[in-house]
Amino acid sequence: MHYNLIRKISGLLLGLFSFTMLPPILVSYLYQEQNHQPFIIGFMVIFLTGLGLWLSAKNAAGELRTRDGFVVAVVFWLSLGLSGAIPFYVSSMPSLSLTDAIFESISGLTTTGATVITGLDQLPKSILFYRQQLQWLGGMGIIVLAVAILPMLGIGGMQLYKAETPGPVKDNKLTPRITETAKALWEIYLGLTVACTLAYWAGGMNFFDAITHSFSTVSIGGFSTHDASFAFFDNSTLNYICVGFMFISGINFALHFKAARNFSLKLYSQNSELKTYASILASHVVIVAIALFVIGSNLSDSMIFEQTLFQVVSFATTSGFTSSDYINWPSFIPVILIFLSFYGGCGGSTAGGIKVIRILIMFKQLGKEITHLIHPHADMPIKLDHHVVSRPIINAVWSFFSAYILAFGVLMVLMMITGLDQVTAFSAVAATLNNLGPGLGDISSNFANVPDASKWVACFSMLLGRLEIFTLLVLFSPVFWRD
Amino acid sequence: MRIIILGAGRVGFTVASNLSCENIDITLIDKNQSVIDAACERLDVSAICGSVSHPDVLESAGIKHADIIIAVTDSDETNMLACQVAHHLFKVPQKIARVRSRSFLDYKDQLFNANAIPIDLIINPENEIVNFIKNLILHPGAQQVLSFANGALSLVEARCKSDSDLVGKTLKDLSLSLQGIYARIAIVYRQGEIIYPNYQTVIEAGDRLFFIASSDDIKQVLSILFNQNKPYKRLIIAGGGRIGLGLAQALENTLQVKIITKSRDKADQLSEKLDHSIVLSGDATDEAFLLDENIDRTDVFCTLTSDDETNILCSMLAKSLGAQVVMSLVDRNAYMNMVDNGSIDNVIYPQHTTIGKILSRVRRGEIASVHSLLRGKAEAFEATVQDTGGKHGLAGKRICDIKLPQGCIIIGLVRQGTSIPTRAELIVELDDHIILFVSDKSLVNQVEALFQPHKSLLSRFIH
Repeated sequence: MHYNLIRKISGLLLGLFSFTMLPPILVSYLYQEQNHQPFIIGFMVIFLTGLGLWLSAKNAAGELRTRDGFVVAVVFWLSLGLSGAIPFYVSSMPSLSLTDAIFESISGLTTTGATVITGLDQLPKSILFYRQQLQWLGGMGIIVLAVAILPMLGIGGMQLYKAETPGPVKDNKLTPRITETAKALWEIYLGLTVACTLAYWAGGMNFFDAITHSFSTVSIGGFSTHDASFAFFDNSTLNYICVGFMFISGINFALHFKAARNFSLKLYSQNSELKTYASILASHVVIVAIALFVIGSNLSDSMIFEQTLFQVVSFATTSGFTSSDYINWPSFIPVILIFLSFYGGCGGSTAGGIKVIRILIMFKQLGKEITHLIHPHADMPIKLDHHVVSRPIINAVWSFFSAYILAFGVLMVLMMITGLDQVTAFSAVAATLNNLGPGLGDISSNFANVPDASKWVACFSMLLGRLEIFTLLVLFSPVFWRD
Repeated sequence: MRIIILGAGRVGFTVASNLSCENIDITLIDKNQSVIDAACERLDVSAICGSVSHPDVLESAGIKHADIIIAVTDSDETNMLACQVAHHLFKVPQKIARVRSRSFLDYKDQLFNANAIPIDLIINPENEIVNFIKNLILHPGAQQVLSFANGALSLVEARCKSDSDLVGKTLKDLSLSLQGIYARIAIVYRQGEIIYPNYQTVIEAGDRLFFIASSDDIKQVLSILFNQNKPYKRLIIAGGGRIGLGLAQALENTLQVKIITKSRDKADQLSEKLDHSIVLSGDATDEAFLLDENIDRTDVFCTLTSDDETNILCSMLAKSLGAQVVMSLVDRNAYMNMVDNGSIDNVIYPQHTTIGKILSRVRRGEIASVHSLLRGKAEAFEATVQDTGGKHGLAGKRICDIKLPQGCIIIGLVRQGTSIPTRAELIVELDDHIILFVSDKSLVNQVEALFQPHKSLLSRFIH
């Protein structure tokens, strides 16, 4: 383990992160809120910590090894979660306990979108902006950002990139150089954000809401600047815009990149993961809409389709925006929605959960096993878009799935030990592990009323979900620490 | 710039790792999955597994946007076919290929043109290594002999041993002792540091001196400075591969050459191709065998097998048995530090001899003869002064007025085929060949720009 190099890079990354405290200061200045102090304190603390770490190992040289990459990724996400909490903790509006501040910060960075704050509408704009910005930074991953703008990371950048990006296939770079790949991803991300902001603005939001909501839409986070989330706007146009951008952000960014480079939309129609993703969404919309129509709800018939579409896409992509009182819909529908968050988003997107591509591979494997019973001698590789999926990848998908289920079980029991009832515990783990946000029972609107211990479990669960289990879990294995 | 390298063997891998440190997008293609995995792991390049001459594979590697393809698979035929595909289907502007077989090279001009097999540059690494070693053997005392401007000027590296007469002398003393021959010690490499010497610099034991002189004077300069006036006579080559055979063929008419190879069949083949050399079949690590062949009276013992370990051990054994000078081919970077302590007189790194020719194609501007020095850290290259238009041109400036980045110096100048001393007041003219030394590769881009036609802002925007 290269502790010097790890310290140096962590210091550099923290230094980079400290500059994200500056935009909220600008917001505070623009709205004349006199609320810049928490961010200045945050900036100083994070910048000096980063500088100290960097100075302590300034001369470290060499390349990051595979295992160093894991340590940097985890150390960085942990320290980011903690240091991101500083403005929340220092600020008097809202006044949060340490636990709550950290919960809010981690929930933001992991794009979960669960909140402990009530009365959002009364908070200073700078704090609201900061929350949304955290989600935006966490969406594409701040490490990927660092790889894009710090060329010194070199080949070690690849190790970091692998540790942070979601999806089962991590080796294929979009461009020959990792820096260029990271840049391309951020360019697409930035482009989508700008497009989304303009669309919201044109759709009727004020400019502040347009920017902040585009941050949390494109990053599939789910934070809002209003307690009522999207229901606040009560505007069909905005709902459809939001659905559109959540859908786009839930698609693999590598696919966006290839389509943009070749100027062709045909690539989208040829991608089997995207097709599966679209059909999962469509089938669930149909099921939920029919159920609402037949069983009846407090919605007018004309609103059923719009609200169903919004909720299904919001949950499937693990955004967690709410535009209606879904919790009072027939009781099985919220459960379907929660389940949807497990398999809703595509690999390589900003969504959480197990990812469509893994589900697809698993179903193909299932089909293969059944065919194998009938033709015991058949040789049937699993193919995805006419390419054979290699055995190590299939194994990795299955072990990811079992680790996910195991983590889910353990975390749910822990949640129940800390005092939640079974429904709440179940949905709390789903909401945090999938980086979804809203849940059922006590947490249907926010996490304000759950015990502190549960919040800590939730924090761990969110990080576990964002780093796709293994990156975090690998640090707990004794093999990792043996030299 | 985008480069596609076909074949991730020794040459392909080395070229990829050298170029990926510069601002170049590299894609490697090889049909062996395990090589591709290793490349993904160790280099910042993209790597694709597949057959290198198939258009679909090439297309997935992004050949439509490629500036150069470098075909260096084991097979000449595959390399040629890949270049043909790249030319006709994808219009790749520059095609570099490795072609080794003599029978193709004999018809070089008829075969390798745009109408038949479109290859812009043929590389033959073995051939270049053979030439490199040949130069060393013909110039006793030199560690490297690199030629510039079509052989008009040479840059020579020589090591200053502790018992040498040079120790303690200043450069001024040296230039006096040369009796009017112009030779300039351009760089001194001392304990891992590059020193730009002036007349007062004192030479210490263990220094590596890089001096530049007209190619005709090199032998004389070496013999005056290093007392190496006796040319080598007896040469033993261990290893009968392409390089060993090539070297034997190149030198068998001037020296007494013995070549050792392990298998009897191989020895038979070699003896068919060699007329004056003695072909021996035996084990070059066998002490008694070497003594039988008068190892103690051998001037040069060269180990040129494909196996680094054999080469190193064999050279050390020969040295301990009394060979005057031992040379050894070492491919692996990890071994370079270990053998650099002087136990082997000349360590030859094949990687760096190959890369130069390719680099000269990669560089922009009028750059020719690029030579990688000090294990790839530094570089020496030749640039032609062009009419770049406006007041930015170099022509008409004094050498001391040319603004070069820190770490870059002008070490030589060739005008119409003859070397001219590079005094500070010398005025550069059009079509002069300037030889530059750059201590850090990252500076190369800035230096290149000096020799390029000056671009207006508009044309820069369009590109």
